Amino acid sequence: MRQTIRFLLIYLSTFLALSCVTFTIGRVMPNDPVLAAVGDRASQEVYDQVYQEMGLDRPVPVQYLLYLKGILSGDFGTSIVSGEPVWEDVKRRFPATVELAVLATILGVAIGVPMGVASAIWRGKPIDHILRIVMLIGYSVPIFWLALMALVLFYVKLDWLPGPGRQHFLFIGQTD
Amino acid sequence: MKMFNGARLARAAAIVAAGLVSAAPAVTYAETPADMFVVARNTSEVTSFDPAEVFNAVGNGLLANVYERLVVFEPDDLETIVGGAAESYTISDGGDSITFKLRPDQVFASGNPLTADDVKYSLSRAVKLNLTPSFLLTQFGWNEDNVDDAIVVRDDQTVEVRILSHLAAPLALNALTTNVAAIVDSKTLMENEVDGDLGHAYASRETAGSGPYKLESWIEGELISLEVNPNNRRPEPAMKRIVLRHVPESSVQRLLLEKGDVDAAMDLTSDQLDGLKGVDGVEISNFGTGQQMYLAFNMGDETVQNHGLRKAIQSLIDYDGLAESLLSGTWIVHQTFWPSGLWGSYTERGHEFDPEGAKTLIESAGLTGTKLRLDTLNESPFREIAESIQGNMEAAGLDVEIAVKDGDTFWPYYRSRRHQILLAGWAPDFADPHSNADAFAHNPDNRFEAQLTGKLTWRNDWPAEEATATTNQAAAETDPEKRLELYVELQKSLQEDSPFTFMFQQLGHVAHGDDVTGFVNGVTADQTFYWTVTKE
Repeated sequence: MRQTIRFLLIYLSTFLALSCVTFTIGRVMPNDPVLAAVGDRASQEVYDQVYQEMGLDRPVPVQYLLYLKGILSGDFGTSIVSGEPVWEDVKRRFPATVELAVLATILGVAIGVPMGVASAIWRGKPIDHILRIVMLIGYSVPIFWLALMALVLFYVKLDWLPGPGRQHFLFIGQTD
Repeated sequence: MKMFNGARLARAAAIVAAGLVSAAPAVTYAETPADMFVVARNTSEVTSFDPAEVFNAVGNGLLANVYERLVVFEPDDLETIVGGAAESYTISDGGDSITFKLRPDQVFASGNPLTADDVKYSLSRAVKLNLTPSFLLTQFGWNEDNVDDAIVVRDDQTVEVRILSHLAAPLALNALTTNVAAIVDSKTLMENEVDGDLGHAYASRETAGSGPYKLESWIEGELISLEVNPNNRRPEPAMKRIVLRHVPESSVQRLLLEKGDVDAAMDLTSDQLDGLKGVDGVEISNFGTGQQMYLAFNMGDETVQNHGLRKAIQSLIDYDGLAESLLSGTWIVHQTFWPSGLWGSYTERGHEFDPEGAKTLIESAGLTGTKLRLDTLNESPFREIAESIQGNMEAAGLDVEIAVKDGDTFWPYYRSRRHQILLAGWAPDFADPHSNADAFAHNPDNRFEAQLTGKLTWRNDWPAEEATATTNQAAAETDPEKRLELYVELQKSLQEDSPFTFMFQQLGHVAHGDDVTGFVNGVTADQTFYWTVTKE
């Protein structure tokens, strides 16, 4: 029982510290969330209106408490990027993230494990050296460049895969 | 003990690999459907479809094809205002009121008829919501208290718009061609009103217009698609759907275009455009944009207040060299505040590259070794242009430090007058010289407390008394010839002495399949026409 309470207290304090750090980072950063929402051309009047709507006119501790209250009731606030509730954005994007992560893991295991095994079996042999070079490239090449090259090879040259995007645009709307 | 038989394992791996290859779907989408225009574009700035809120190029380009406005520019003549939802209009003798007669039998995509009540609701709603583009209407002297009295419904088809400020009717007409003046379906929005939001939440995600298209689907980070609105007054467009695929990487846009999976790519860099020249099946079309690049001097800073120093710096910019080499034809030299290609533009040059003359000026004024700070955006080509200017300034004996910032920090910094010299860009909000004169030459109150942060005069601590008076005079002038004279005079005077050095004007490029014709992209985003596109 005592241990359960101890764990709960540890979790609670970790959560509080984490939320405090997250909140502080948002306030310390020099970028302006109001300007991100209203744009550079907005008049001061419009700016002030949105500043108030975002609750930024209140004292920082009050803002933090409101933020905590929101999180506890499942309200993560509104995204300044999409203008939608953050939770809606997360719900919409999470399935794509899971798809990508699972497929990447399967591919990684399917290719990586046999490569590792082959390297171990033929240690010091030419195949081991070749695989080592391949792995080194995999680690050191910037991922965005690798992705672009993969597109050039599998999409443009070999025509094995459809282009970028989660679904082909012709089917969007029919599968949703 | 040997755990694996190497040869057998290698054979098994080869079989699996061969299986994977043969199982790979032979999917080829080498051609887009004949009645669909598919564009690769970075659509991340689209966060809403409400015309009272949208203030970005991609969003405005779409809205212009979804909503009708009272008056518009047609694609075959982007300098003349003609009737849109209005069939005709009459300007009162005093020039302070415009009466619009609507075209008969207009219907929204919902099937609701478009009447004068919808016009009144749309304009007053945009003022009452008071979102970013509302200033385009509040400059008529309108606010939430008086706007309902300023728009008078005469009958179902007739509406009078009264201008309560000094703005002349021709200028007001120009502002009414922008999307903030789009006519929304008042019945649909009122039915979907939540907590008195005037349908804002609904209009952000759905469209309620009478234009050639309506919003079909918007999946953030994936695509925006428009479908034909059969109720539109025009002949049905050849393209039944317009699809904007969100492709943030310009190199990927190029791959998609070359592969034929999109009909056009909108965000290609000059290198990529060069690479596409001569590629089979691809054409590049150019169009003028209103985007300008300028250098701004904070007049609250004692060092750069010095007119001689500013003159010297103006002579240290290699205008032609940069336009040809670094900008490789994507920007042209333009040295006044109103872009060329638009009514009212003055295109004469005021500054030339003269490093020797500048060096002599700096030495004779005892300014050698002066420490200066130049801020710019962390974006190409601003960074590179800043570096080039820095190099020339240092060669002339000045000590210049460059500070590069992301937009998130750059704009708040500029709006709070913290810069010394700054390199930035600007594009007009609508196709009348007043749009830029209001930003660059008008400052009714230069006090810090006034916080006129939307005005570049105020941001640069420049009281601009004479220029403000001329801007007011030009805005109130009803005679087009006199207005033109005033704007030319204003452009000359700012070129001669002001905190601004105008340098370049951007050209737009769209790379598209050679089967695509009719896509028109004007100087402002409100002049984007998808409904004219055809494919052979």
